[in-house]
Amino acid sequence: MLKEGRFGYKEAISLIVISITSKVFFTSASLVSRLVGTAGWYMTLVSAAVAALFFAFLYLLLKRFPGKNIMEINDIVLGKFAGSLLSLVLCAFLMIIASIDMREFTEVLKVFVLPESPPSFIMVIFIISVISLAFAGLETLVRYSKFLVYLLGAGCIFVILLSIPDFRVYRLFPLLGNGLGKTIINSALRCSFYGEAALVGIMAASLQGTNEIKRIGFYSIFISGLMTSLCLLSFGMVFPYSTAQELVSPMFAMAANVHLGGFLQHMEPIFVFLWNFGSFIEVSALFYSAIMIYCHVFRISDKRPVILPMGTLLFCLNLFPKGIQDVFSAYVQTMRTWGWVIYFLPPVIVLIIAVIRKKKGAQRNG
Amino acid sequence: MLKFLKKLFVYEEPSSSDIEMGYEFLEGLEESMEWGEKYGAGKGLKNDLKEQKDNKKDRSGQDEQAGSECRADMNDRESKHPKILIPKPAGKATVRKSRKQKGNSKAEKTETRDSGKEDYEEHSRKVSKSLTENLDYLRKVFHVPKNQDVVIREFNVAHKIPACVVFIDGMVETTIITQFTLPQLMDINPFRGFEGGCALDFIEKNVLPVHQVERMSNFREIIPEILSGLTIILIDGCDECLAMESRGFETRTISAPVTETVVHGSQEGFTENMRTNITLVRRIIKNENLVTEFITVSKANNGRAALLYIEGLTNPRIVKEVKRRIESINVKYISGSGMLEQLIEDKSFMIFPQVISTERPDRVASFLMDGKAVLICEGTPFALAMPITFFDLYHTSEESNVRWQYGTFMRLVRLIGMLLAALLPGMYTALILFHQEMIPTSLLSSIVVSRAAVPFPTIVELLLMEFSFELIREGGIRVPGVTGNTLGIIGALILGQAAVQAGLVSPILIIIVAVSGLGSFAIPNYSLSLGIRIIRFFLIFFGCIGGFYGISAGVTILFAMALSMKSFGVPFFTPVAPYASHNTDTIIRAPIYEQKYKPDYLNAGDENQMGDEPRGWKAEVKQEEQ
Amino acid sequence: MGKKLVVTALVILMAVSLTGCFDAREIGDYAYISMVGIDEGVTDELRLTFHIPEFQVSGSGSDSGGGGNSNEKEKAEKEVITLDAPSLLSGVSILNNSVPKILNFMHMKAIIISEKMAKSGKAGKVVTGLMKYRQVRGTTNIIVCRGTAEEFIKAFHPYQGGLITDSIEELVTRAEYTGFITNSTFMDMYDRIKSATSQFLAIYGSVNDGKNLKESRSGEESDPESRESGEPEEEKPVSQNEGYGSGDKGRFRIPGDYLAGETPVKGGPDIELFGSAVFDGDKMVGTLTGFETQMVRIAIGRLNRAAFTIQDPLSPDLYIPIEVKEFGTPKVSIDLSGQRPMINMELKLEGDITSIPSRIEYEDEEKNRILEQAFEEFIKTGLERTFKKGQELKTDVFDLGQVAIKQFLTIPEWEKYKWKEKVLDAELNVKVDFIVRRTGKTTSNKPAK
Repeated sequence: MLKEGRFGYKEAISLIVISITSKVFFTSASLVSRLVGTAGWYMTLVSAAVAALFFAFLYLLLKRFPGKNIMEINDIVLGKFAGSLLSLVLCAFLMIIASIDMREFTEVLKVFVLPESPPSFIMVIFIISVISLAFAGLETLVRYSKFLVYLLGAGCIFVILLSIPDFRVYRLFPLLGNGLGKTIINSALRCSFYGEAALVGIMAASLQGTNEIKRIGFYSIFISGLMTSLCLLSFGMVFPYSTAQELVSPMFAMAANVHLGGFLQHMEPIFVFLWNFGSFIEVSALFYSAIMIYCHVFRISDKRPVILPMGTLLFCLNLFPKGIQDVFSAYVQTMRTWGWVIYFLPPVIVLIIAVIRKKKGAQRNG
Repeated sequence: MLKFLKKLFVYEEPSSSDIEMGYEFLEGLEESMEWGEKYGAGKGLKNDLKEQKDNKKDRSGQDEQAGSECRADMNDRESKHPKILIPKPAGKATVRKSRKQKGNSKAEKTETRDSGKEDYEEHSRKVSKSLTENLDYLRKVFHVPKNQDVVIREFNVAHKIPACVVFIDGMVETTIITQFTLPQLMDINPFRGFEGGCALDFIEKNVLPVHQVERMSNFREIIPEILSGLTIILIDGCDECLAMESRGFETRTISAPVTETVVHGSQEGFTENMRTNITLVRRIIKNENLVTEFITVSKANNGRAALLYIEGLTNPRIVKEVKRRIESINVKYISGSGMLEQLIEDKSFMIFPQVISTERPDRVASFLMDGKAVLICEGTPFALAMPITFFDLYHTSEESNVRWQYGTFMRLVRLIGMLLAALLPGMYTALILFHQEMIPTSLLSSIVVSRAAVPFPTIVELLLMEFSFELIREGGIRVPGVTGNTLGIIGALILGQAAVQAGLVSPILIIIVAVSGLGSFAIPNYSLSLGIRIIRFFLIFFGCIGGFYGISAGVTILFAMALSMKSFGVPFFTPVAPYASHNTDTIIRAPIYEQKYKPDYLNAGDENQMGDEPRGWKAEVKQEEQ
Repeated sequence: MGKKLVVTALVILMAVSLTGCFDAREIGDYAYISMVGIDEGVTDELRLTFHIPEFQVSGSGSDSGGGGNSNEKEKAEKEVITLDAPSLLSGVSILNNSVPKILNFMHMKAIIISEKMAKSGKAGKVVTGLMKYRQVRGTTNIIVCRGTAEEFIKAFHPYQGGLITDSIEELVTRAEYTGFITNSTFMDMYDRIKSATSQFLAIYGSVNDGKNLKESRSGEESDPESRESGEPEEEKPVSQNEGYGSGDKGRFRIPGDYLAGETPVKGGPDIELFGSAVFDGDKMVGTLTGFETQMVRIAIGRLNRAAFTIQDPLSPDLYIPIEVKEFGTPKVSIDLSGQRPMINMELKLEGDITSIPSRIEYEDEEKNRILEQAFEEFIKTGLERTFKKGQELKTDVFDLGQVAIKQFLTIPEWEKYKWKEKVLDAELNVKVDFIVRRTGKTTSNKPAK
């Protein structure tokens, strides 16, 4: 894309909500179950609150420099070299997260839907779609997510509704899970689940004013927090904690267990269909943000020639983990626990330095 | 293909080649109106008008000496009362070279390539004062006496001055010449007050009772007019001529539109004659701001197009862009609106059309009132409207003519039909090949049994049936008469039945193909339905290689293309994808009196289409109750 | 240069797309297994029995299906395959070499385990190990059968043509309405065998060859005669209420107080599902009759409607059938403070009287009350009896752990409490409240003149 267009707050909210909520469909849910037992559904609300707190810092930073995105702010506050370095760290991190998410998706797909295809085949198709979305530009990506957000939300709620006959409230007890202390610590650490809200900072140039940014950030965290909590609540009621921590993907299993009469059964391929869309959008968003940062740091104005090599790089990164065990326990767990350091801490640091050095952005009529 | 790959691998300096409507995604009505005022009607309009006036004045100063008063007069008239303009002569585009010569830096306004440059120079010859010279020139140009269509009738004006009438046989209405021109000119009585000199002025003002005349002095304007059916009066001693409106050729009568039939709306459709079409539109919009501009689109056949828009309502940037594109077309022959559409659309590679072509004047009228610009071309009974969104392709005029519940219902049915047409064969393939667990067991057993007899794999079978169906559709168009349409569907079903009995395909497949075909019949716009049919094959391919996963990847790629599409600066899926404030009119149609706003994305002037309470009688009732 | 680029791009595209279709298999390439039976193998670890239905078009079953016995027997021969194998996966791969289609569990409806396997505990381990296997769904039913699974599967024909999967589906769904079996699925089994909260009840099935329908009552012997030999003692209707048939008068049995294979039915389908098998962890420890399973379902609140017949309280010779239309969820409160858990259960029922052979006017206010009380006693006794039986089998059949867990705050506390042992000492108090809502088409019953 040559230049980024502008888009409104509804599109941005849908992009971020889809990016965050897609992750609940994969292994995260069982990890949560392992850590905190039955308390998953309200633990994620605490995570959302912590993430919102961090986002407030990001918002303050963006308000200080209206109309600029976070790469430019890094440059202004920290100077060219340090700012670029920080941005590049974020870029690399986003690529890694994108590749992990893609790998997780591929593994889950291989287990449930396409068991005999080699992972590279699945990944190639994925990369082709991601690249085509990246080629079409950021505007198209957000329009696509706005287009689909209602469909995906309805699909998610539909799965939950269909599973209601299997709900047993007793499975949510004991309420405090593995203990209150553990719950709170884990939930605070896992706020990186909502880390995609930091993408707002990268896209800030295309939004329409800092008021919008505030709305977008808080609304998207709020909505995705609700959706995630709802999903975790529903499968907490379908699977007791002993089983939930063992499943590869609890949401898939929940959809597979739907059995309402002779017709409404074996429904999960339809939901696979919908969840694919969510994953495409999520990985495309991360990938595109990484490209935006890269192009900004190296001052490239036409993004299109960069997309193909970065896509190949993403593909190679995907091949690092050995198998699903690796992905599950090492990568995803590490990223979730420590991801917030790179998503949220840099804006805080930059904000503090900006206040100290008294840098401020020019007031601009947004 | 090469360009595409270049884009992938080669770095290029950014250049903006797309028109930017400056469309900001403003959700509030007030913001939108402000924006419209800033960039839309109002400020911009005045500038544009001024520019146009300056243009004309410059050009007239450069090219024509005599008759300049006439031209200035016409300019004044145009700028003060923009009614139907007298058809501009061909090749009126600015010549870049001459601009540079003059050192004029207003090149941004109309950067157009001269479309008829050669003809420009060729026929660029002024009318001389001698009648015989003019006649010789005309005879040479029209290859008279080989060409027996052109009639040159010489006579004397007021028994004294030699003059002649030139016209093309069959294109003029002879009563105008026989009863309203020749008698008056040949008679000596009207010329009593005539002093002498050039008789043209006197004739035009005092003698000739024809309703529409124009004075021309250059053959490059005169010759196309003769070819269009006007009659030229040449008088000895005058270096101008009179062109009389006398068109009277045979045209097709107005009949019901063929491609877009409705039950509850008007049954008039366009014909091939441009004048009739414009009239049909004018009968619906009796607004003084409706402007018609004529533009020549191809030089070899002098094809013309009429650009209609409502002054003060349509965003002048759209009009400017449309004119810019048409005037820069350099094609020898354009047969009608179809070719014109392909030459002015944004991206030819896209599978969806970016310009809508319609056969109904009532749809054109509603497009005009929304703020779109409409092109009517000679030769085809279709009008082009731009810019469009996907929802314009999806709506028909029927839904506004019936009550909102029925309209909503029709739209929902059409939406389901469209989805079925595009997705059903692909999903069937994916289901049968990859996701057998999803099929209920009893259905599974039927499918297995029916497929047991079929010798082909699923994908071959499906493609076979799809191609046969497309073939039948294509062939059904050629069969004349009513049998053509019935042949399509019935033929397909009978063929399918025979194929099943022969054991070549399974019956379930026939149903799938037939249902998706029916779904594509439900799509009102022909281009869109063809687009959806092509998409179907694309999705079958993806369904075959990846199951539902492949289909979602295919849909993603498709949407990546479709959502980045812009039609004259308006993104294609407005108002859903880039959100714009709109009436509740996309899928569910609210009652008419609740659709208060014009489409926001066109940035037209005058946002409010209705007052607060459009049904005044209800307001009165409320007042009484209070 | 341009041409080279184009050609390269096309080659890459073709290479990617034409390697595809890894998972694409024609729908007719699969053999869809509808039932698997697991027995103890003789020559190997497990004896697996597969039932692979031959599909017929549902509408045009003109030639086969509905034919005589010989036809069905032949079909049975072709459709049922038995082999010995060390595990399910190996069995499938061995069999894939003789069956031309690929075996596939996607549409499997039931896993049949023989009683012997269940009692030895092996079945629990083998079957729950299937959790990892993608093709086995959580909604597959688990049936424990008396005898061998092979016999059971061989005897299982679809009723009146049609598909066998439909038949299984229907039979299990019927549980909602009669209550004589639980709706046990694979997911249930997996959850409950591993959880600290509840235990697993499987469907109990058997071949019923019609021998139970005795032609004559051989004397006034008591019920032991009418039973097949070798049955556990619980079959005797043990009920504290008088009038409930034991001994000579006792032709009357509590309705449904049978196990599978004992119902006096002749003709019709050869198999039946009746009662439940009780598991403690991996091992099967006992069975519950149909009636007791009904009680279990009442106690956990999962019975929609059921039909009972009680002895007429005022005329003990005759019986009154009562159809209970609404079972409320019982309110259970557990008191864990003392040495033994004290469990209070309150239950509300509503029902209709369908016929009164004795013509006593039970519609009348007073007599209504008597009838209601009689029924309440009936249910109460049944519940207590079932609970005691569960305690003897060392299980918590009423899923009371699900109520008890609400009183604990964290998971480690709950697991320390060891509910499964504590429940064996628990005391159950039941209160039943029954209201007769409607009395059928007639509202009063005048004596014959």
